[in-house]
Amino acid sequence: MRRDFRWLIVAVTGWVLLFFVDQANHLLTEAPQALGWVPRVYLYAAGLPIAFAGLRLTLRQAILAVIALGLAADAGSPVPYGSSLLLYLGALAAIFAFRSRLPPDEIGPATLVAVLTTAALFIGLTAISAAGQPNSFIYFGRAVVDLLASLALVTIAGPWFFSLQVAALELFDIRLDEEIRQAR
Amino acid sequence: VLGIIAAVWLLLPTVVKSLLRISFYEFQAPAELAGSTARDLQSFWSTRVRSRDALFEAGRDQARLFASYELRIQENEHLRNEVARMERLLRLPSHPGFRYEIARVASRDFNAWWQQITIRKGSNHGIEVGCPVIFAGGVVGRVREVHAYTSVVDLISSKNVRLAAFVAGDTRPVSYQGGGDLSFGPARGHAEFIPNDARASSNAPLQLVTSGLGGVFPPGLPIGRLYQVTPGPDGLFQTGLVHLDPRLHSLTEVVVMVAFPEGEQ
Repeated sequence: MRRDFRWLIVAVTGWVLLFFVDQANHLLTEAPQALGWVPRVYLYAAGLPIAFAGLRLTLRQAILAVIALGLAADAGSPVPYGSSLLLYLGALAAIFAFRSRLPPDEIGPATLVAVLTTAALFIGLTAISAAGQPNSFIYFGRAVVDLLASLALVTIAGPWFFSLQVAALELFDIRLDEEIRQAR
Repeated sequence: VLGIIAAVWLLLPTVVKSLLRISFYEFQAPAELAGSTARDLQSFWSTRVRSRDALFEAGRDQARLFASYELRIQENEHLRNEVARMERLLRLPSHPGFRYEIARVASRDFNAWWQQITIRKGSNHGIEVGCPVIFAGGVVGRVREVHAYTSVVDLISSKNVRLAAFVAGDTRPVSYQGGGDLSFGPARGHAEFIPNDARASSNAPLQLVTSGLGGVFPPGLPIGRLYQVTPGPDGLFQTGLVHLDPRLHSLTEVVVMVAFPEGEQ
């Protein structure tokens, strides 16, 4: 039997996305100093690969992809290791509960799912990070700015990212659209 | 199924989690370093396209700077000898020595909840957890994690950074804690236990410096400025908001202070 590594392809493209988001965050830290009027923002786009895995892969493949993404996401951050993994698994469970009601191959609903997933993950991560910190309410203004910027990024990058995932899978002769058509 | 996986993760021994964390970090580290090297390359090529006149001017300015630094080095050497002579005369314990490791910043990661930078040197250069990190403007932060070729530094604005400080020119200790990063304005911190007689204003701000207490940071390194102090809840001390150096947001190179092993200076 041929082994199916589509979870790995989804995870790798997810890592590539998160790498570029990290690079953007690096450059954005100095943007307010260079431009003066720009607020300081932090972008978070983890909802994109999770939404794709949840909408387009089987449960087993989606779990493997989410584990690979979740373990990589926390490796360099100061939150307890595995926090993102548990949040991603929760998000995946929610997407699987609704996915039968969504058209699997349309970009619009998929982007909406990615936006909602990103918002839920961001709020979850904020709750974990804020727990136990004194006067954490002061920073919610910043967190809201970060969330809005992240949602804007996911909305803009969503269609491109889903197309990238599909194209990456097609490189390895995995044609999701055809599989969906055959299943119908 | 997802619940079972979550439960398995929660019950997994800490050793396995630590091993996974290190593995995933080291797996991603080359990508982070490659991104940083690509930025350096971009900066190199953008410098290459500058006119020859601009480069001559920059070279002339550099030569002036080098001349003034050489004078400073001679002055420092003289003062160091003087300090050593006084220590011998008064039989004082000598200050701990540091080796200075200059490191490029590979990535900056600042949000509402944490502010950290990753530097391109790790255990391969003898960097240890807890080492103080400084730059031209004063304290940058403290090394939190050390990996094979990279280290993660908690910035001084991070809420988990606490240290004992002095108001410059005073020897009464003040407590400093990182105060996070907001959307607008510089990064900041909070100072507590400021003596009641200290006064600060926008025209005459107080400079907060490291105290050397606790042994991590050497004394006298600038932390930030206090433009206003307000009476604390107990009335015995004052508190204040510390404005940190805005250059902390655009750091490209920092210095890690690695303590010499005892007996070796």
